[in-house]
Amino acid sequence: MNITTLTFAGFVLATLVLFYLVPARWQNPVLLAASLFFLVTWSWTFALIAVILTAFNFTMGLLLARGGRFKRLLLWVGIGTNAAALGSLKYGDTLIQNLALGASPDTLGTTFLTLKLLVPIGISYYVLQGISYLIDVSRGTLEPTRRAVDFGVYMIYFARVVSGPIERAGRFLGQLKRPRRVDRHVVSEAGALITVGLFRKLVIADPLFRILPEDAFAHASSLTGPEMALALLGFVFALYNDFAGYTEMVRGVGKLFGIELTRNFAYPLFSRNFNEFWNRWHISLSHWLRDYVYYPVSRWLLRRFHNPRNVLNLAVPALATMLVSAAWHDARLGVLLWGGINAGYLVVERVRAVWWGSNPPDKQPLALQRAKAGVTFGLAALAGVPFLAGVTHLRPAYGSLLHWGTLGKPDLRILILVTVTLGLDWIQSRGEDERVFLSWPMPAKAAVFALAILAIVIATRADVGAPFIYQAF
Amino acid sequence: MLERSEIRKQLHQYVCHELLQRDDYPLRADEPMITSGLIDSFALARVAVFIEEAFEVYVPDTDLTVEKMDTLDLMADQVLAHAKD
Amino acid sequence: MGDAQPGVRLDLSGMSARLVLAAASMLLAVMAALEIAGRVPSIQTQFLAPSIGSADRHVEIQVAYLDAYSERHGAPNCYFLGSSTVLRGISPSAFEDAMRQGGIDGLHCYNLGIQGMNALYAPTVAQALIEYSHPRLILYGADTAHVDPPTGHGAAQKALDSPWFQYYLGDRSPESVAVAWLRSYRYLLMLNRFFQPHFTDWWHESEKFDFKLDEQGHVHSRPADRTNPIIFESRNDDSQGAASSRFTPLQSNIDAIVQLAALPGPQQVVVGSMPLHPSYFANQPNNIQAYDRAKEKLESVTQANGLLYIPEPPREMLYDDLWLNRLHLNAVGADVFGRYLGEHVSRAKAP
Repeated sequence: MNITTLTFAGFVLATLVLFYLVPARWQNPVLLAASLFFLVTWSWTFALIAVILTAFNFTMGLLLARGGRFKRLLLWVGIGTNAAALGSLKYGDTLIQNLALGASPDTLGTTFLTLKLLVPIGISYYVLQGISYLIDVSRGTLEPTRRAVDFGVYMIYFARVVSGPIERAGRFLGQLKRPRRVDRHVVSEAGALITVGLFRKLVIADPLFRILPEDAFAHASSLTGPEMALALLGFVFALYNDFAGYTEMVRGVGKLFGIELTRNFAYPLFSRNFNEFWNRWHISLSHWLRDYVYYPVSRWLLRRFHNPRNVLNLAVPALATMLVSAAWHDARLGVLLWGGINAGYLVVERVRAVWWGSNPPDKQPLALQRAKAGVTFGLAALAGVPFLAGVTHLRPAYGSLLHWGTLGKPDLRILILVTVTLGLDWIQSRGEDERVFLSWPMPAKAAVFALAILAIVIATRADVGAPFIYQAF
Repeated sequence: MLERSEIRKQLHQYVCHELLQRDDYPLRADEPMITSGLIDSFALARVAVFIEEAFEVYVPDTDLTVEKMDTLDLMADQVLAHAKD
Repeated sequence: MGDAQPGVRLDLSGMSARLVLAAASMLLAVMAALEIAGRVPSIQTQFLAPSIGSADRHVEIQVAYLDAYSERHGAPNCYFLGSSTVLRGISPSAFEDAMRQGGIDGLHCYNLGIQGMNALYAPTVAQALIEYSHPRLILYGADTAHVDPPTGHGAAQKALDSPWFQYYLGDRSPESVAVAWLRSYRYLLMLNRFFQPHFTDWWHESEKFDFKLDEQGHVHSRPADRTNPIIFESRNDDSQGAASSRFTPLQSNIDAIVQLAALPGPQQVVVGSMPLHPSYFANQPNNIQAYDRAKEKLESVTQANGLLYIPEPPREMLYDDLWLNRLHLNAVGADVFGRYLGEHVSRAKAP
C-alpha cells in the first residue's frame, strides 16, 4: 500500500476512527493490528518475518535484562541474528552471486529460499531498531518492556515501517506509556507536515524522477559536463525530496495517533561541512550510526591510543561508520565506494579540527558560509555518483563532468524544481521546521495551502507514481 | 564527591585546550558549543573519554547528544547523573 | 499486561475550518480567473492551447480551436473526419458555400481530420462528436488509410485516450468531467505536461507540421505552397512509396467505415474518396489497379449499407498546382475539392 495513495488515506482514516472509538487500553492493540494489516497488504511473508523478528527481539530484551554470565553472549547472539536476517534476506542474492563469481542463481543449482523472496519491506529499519533496543537494554540504559503489544508497535508501526525514521525504544516506548492528547494544534501540525510531505514527493520528487533520463549514467559519455552536472543535481534533489517528503508525511500521520516520530531531515542542502551534513541528512540513521558505531569505536580507540592525532583515531571511526552505512543501504560496490568517499571527507574534517582547532561556521562571514555550503553539497553530490551510477559507469560519469566546453541542452525543468526545493528549505529554515507555515498570517497560510493542494492535484494527473526510493533499502 | 564547579572547571579547561585549541577563549558555562558549531558532535567521543579518565564516570554513547551535552553545564549534569550509577 | 494503558485523547474543541475555507475560496478565485481567461477570445488567443490530457499535442490544439469555433459560431453541426488528407484537403467554407448554392443552408462545418488516423478509429471519433454537438452531417474522407492497418503514429488512439474524448464517449469520472467542462483545469494540465518526460517531443509534435489551423479547423499552408509547382519525378523522393501488397483493402477498416452508418442519432453520414496525385502510383500499374479495386469495394459496401458515397473528382479538376505533395492537396486544392464535395452532397439532398 503506497502511502501517497487514496487507499492509504482511507486506511489511516479507518484506523483513526477505530483508534479513538476503542477504550484506551485497546488503542495500542489497534495500532499493532493495523500495522500487521499494512504489512500483509505488501505480502504475508513480510508480515511473518516482521512478527518473528519482533518476537525474537522482545524475548531477547527480557533475557538480557536478567543479566548473568551469558549476557554478553546473548547480546551478540541478538545482534548477530538481526544482522543475519537482514543480510540473508536483503543481500542473499548479491552475496551468493558474488561468491559464485558472477554465476547466475539458476546455474548454481541452489534452492535457497532467499533467492525467491523479495526484500521484506522495512526490514532494514526495524532490524536497526531491534539492535539498538538490545544494546540499550544490555547497557542498562533502558528497561525492557514487558508489553508485547507496545514493543510490536515500536518495531512495525505502520506509519514508519516502510522507510523509517529509525526510532529509539526509550523515546518511542516512553510515549506509549504516557497519556497523550491530540488537539487542534496537533491536527494542524499534522496537516502541515502531510501537505508539505505530499508536495515534496508528488510535485518535486516524482516529476524529477520522470524527467531525469534513466540511462543518464549508462550514456554518460554522450552528455556534456553541464548536462551531467544537471542530471546529478536532479537525482540528488529527487532523492532528497522523495525521502524528506515521505518522512514528513509519516510524521504527520503519526501525530494524528499521538505519536511523535523523529525528524529525519533538517535542510541538509545548507550544510556547511560534512559533520553538519550528517546531522541534517537522514538524521535517525546518522544518529544511530553515531551512537552504535562511531562513538563505541572512537572511544575504544581513544582509550588505547590517547593521541587524537593518531591515524587510527582519525580514520577508523569515520571509515567504520560510513562503511556500515553503505552496507546498510546496499551491498553493491558502488555504494561501498560512496561510503568510503564520505568517510574520507569526514576524516579530512577531523584532521582539520584536531590540528587547528574548531572553526565554527556560524562565526564566519555569510558569504563564506554560503560558499562552504555550496562546496559541501557539490562534494556530497560527487560522492553520490558511484551510489547512483554503480562502478561500471563511474569513469564515464566522472569523465563527462570534466567536459564543460559546450552547454549542451540543459533541462530547465530540473532547475525549476531545484529552485522550488531550495525555496521551500529556506522558508523552513526560518522557523522551527516544516511547520513554519503555521505561524504565518491566515491569508498567507491559506494561499500556501491552496497552492500546495492545487499543485499536488495537478502533479498527480500523471499515470504512475514512482515508488519511494528509500523503501528499497 | 564530585563538585559541580570543579567538574565544570576541568571540562572548561579540556574543551578550550584540546578541542578549541584556544586557552583564552571566553567559554561560558551556558554557551551552546555543538549547536553553535564550536565543537562538532564527533568530538563528544573525546569528551566522553576525558570524562571517563578525569572523573571515572561512564557516559553512555546514547547520552552523547546535543540535547544532553551542548553546554558545560549540561556536560556537568551528565557527569553527576552517571556518577551515581 | 502490566499497569493500565494511559491512551490518547482526542480533543478537537476550538477547531475551525477557517483555513480550509480560506484556501478553498482562493482556489475557486484562481480557477474562476483562469476559466474566464480561457473563454474570452481576446485573452484566450494570447495563451497556448490548453491540454485535454492527450499524448498528442496536435489533437489538443484542434480541440482548442473546436471550442473556440463553438464559442464564436455555435457548436458545429457538420464534421469532416479522416486523416491528414482530409485535414489539409477539404475546405469547410468552400463546402458550406457549395451546399448553400445547392439549397442546403445553415451548415457550420468543422474539419477534424487527425494526422495519421486510420479508419478503425472513425466510428469512435464520430461517436464522441455526435455527443459533443449532435451534428447533421458527418463526412468521412477515405484515403489510403482505409486500406492500411493502424500506423505507429497512433494519434487517433492518443486522442481517444484523452479525458476529453472519454467524456464524450460516456466517461463521467472526475478527471473527464473536469477536462470537458473546465478550461481552467485544462490550463493547469499544461503544467502537468510540462513536467512529463516526453514534454519536448509532445510540444514539438505540433511544430512538425507545416501549416496552421484556424478556428474552423481549416488548414492554412505556407504561402509558397500555393505557387510552387510540385515536381513529380521519381518515386524515390518521398516516403509515400507503396508496395504492391499495400492496397489490399482491410475488411476491418471497411467494416469500421460502414459502422458510421449505425451510430445513434439522426446525422447523415457521407463517405468521400480522397484524391491522390496520379504520380503516387507512377510506374506501378499493379498498385493503381489494386487501389481502384479497393475503392470499388468500399463504394459497393458503403452504398449497400445506406451511406452516400462520393467518388474522386476527375483528374483534370485537380491539376498539379493544387497539390502540396503526392498525398495532400494545398489550400487552393482544398477549396476546389471542398466545393466539389459540397456540390455532390447537396445534389444528393443530404441532410
